[in-house]
Amino acid sequence: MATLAVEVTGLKKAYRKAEAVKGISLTVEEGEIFGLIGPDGAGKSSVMKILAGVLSYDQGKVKVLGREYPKGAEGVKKDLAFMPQGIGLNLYMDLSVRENIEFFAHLRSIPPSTRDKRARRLLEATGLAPFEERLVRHLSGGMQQKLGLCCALISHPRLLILDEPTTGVDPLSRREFWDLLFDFVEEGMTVIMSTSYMDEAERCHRIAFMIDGTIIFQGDPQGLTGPGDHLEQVFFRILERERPQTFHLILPATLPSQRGNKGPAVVVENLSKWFDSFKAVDSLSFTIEKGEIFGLLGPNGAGKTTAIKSMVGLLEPTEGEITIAGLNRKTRLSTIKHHIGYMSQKFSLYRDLTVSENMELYATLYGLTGGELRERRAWVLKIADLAGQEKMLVRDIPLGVKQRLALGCSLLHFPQVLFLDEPTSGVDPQVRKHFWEIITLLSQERDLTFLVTTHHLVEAEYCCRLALMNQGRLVALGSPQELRERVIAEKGEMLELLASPQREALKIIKSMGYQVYPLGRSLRLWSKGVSLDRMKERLARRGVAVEIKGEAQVSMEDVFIHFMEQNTHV
Amino acid sequence: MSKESLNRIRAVSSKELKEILRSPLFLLLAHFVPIALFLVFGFGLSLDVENIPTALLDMDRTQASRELINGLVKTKYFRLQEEGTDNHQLINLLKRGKIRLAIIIPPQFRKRLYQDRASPIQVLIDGTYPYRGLVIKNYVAAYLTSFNLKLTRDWLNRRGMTSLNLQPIELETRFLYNPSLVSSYALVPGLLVVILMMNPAIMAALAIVKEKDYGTIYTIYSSPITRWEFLLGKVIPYYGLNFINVLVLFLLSIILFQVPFKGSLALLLLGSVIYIFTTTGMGLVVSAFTRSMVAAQIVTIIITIIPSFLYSGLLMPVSNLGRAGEIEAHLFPAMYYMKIVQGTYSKVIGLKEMGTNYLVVLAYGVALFCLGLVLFKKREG
Repeated sequence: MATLAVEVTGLKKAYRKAEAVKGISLTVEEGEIFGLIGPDGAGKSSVMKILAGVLSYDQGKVKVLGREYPKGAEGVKKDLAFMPQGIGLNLYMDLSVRENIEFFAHLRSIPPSTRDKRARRLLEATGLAPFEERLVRHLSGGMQQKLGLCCALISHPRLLILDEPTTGVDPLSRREFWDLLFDFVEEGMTVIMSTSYMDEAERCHRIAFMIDGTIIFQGDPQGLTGPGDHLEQVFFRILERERPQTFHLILPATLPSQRGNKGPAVVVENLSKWFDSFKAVDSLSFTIEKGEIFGLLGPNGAGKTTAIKSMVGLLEPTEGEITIAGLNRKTRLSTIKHHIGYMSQKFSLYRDLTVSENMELYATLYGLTGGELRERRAWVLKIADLAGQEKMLVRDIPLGVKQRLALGCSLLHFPQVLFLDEPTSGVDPQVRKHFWEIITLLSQERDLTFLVTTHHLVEAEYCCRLALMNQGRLVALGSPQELRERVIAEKGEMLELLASPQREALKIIKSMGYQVYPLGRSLRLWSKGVSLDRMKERLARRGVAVEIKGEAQVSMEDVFIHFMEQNTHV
Repeated sequence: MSKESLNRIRAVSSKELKEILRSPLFLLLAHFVPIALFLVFGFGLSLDVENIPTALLDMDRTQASRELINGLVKTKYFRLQEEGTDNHQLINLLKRGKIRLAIIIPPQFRKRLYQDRASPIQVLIDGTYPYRGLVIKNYVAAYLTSFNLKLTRDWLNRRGMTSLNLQPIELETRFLYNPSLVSSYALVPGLLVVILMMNPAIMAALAIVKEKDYGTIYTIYSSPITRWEFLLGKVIPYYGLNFINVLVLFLLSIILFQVPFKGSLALLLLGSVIYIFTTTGMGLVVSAFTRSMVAAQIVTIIITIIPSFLYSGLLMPVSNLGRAGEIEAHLFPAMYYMKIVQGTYSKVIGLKEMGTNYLVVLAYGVALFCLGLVLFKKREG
């Protein structure tokens, strides 16, 4: 039997009166990737912090790498590394990439010669090598998270604890992140991680599903899914059962349909935005039709947020013309603002105001009063499932509810066009689903127009059309299906393989020059130009068992990565 | 101390220094703010009562009344602001704060004087600030005494009695340590006590709380570095920055404010280094209780500025504070450093006389650092 890296029994933790962890028990074997999943506020972060020895707890037995907490915690710290939740949070923004790595190495007394050797390998694997001297604050979010991992790995820890390391990180960076992680696990490292991406959870050796401070499932993720099932769907089913939502998918009675309006909702012509000598957005052009849900996708730092801020009037474009609902730059900005709504990446709500105070503030800003205000407020309360809780402070309501409230607030003045910048980042699948149900309803029934950015490419499927951006430029435009077909035309169909051992198979197939990557338990292989027989033979010779399961659906993530790889210039 | 722990301290210090040097706002806070405070208070804070705006209502309008007033406003203490027309107007000027002193010379002032009768004049003094009012009254009284003396002498002279000594007892005063009693000579060095308490404490508190605010503290919490290694490494760069401040403030005091420095520079610097160590310790203690930079800053300002202004002996001697105030003053390190500053700037005394003050400040420093160490936990709640 494998030795245990982590052994927890009866762990309890409360903040003031709120119980965050209600007596959980779990074990993590040495050398495995252990995933902690569950909805927002389930207590995952608390468990991670306790295991990392940076949070005290009330009750229970915690044993990590053979040492009993809390006494042994300091002794374990030389053998573990911890990445807290939030992009770049463990990094020093005013230090360069190299200086951050050096600082982490110094803290753990790694000799400089060893450190430099390891640093070179890590930076090359993550593609950060060209940016060694750059200050962290000038790196994109994806790069910051990869650097965070490099810093954590510089000491070759026995145990790595990662709290949602890939939230807000683009799919390309996520793939590099996982490649590096697997390399180290092969060398014997144990990983405990939480994630809101279910495909990542499927890749874990074992998972624990946490909800409301308790673990309701622990074991092989396949034990939860069954054949032909995806974890994402299982997640919904469990949550609908455990935490039934009473939110109401309804439309406000007075919300006018935009169907009568002629002309496109948004026209962007040749938009460019420079910051000093850096071109953040480069000659962007597209048209969004009325009632469309338009997805703007791209890696971190592609210029999506800059483009949106230019459209809503927060940034003055360097060049180009923007027309929204028939109004352009010549119209007074305050007039345009009555026709648009904007929900930013960061919360647009005031944490120290109550739910209804926040709504009143928005309403006042847009000059809503009386019966109009009452009716719309009642509607927002219903879609956010907050009826009867108007007096609660916003900081005390769960993240997912907050996001729906923010959406509701940006809709209070009945805009024609809504700009949503990463509205679902860090939000669990259940909340994301409800969020999209509201958007879809408003688009279909009232012809409201949405421009949405997201890193959850599953969500791209909800969009009518997608614009893919990279390095400030538009690299692809079309409906999800059109883009998918373009990729298949170039790379062939996608095949699903089951191979064991998986990592070995991956290396061999890659060495043949084929494009392959792991997804959950299986491998995905682009079939154009592939000789299956030759591949099977090569694998058999090395003792790797392989089974071809047939054609797999090309996901939006595959599409995204295809266009990014084709259009990246260093 | 092992080589490993030395290396870790060095890593934290050099990281901190780089961050400071790359953040203009922080450098501004570190150097500009103390210098600006020094200039503002150095020029603005004065306990000298001079240039008192004065109004005059001369209802006599004779040579004698002129003479009386001219002599008064010629001194540096009074400045003739207005010539009034009636009582009512003078009261009005006092109410609006345009003048602090009104002098009313009644009609027949001269006449009564030459009839050898007592000739009263009235002064109205703004008593809003009792201390200032008292000083003004004493100035006027002193001036009148000398004016009366002059009148007497003139009268005697006219009668040929020139050899009579009107002041058989003569007072000869020498003020030691500040012979010309310039209040800035006492206040400007005293500001060192205030600024060197506030600034190092704020910087140290911010340095630690910054990591909590940004989230980098988890990097520290989850690493094998020990608490004292981290705290020491963290504050070392700030000792350096604040030592620069000591030198700059010292030079400003003797060059710009022309405060004479008579004692040993080495002794002043030694005291200052110890004092910086102590006040940095106050910041460490604050950082243990606060989680956001704003809170840390406000708490530190409150707990440093009040004792250093009120209980250090800056504005008035500690022995005049009353019993409770005196006890409080002894509880804060500011008073002891003030004695070092006074001892080196003006009194020219040595370690033999001031040694205790050094030891007390140092003891405070050690105690605060230890308290900071105990309160700093490598984990949350």
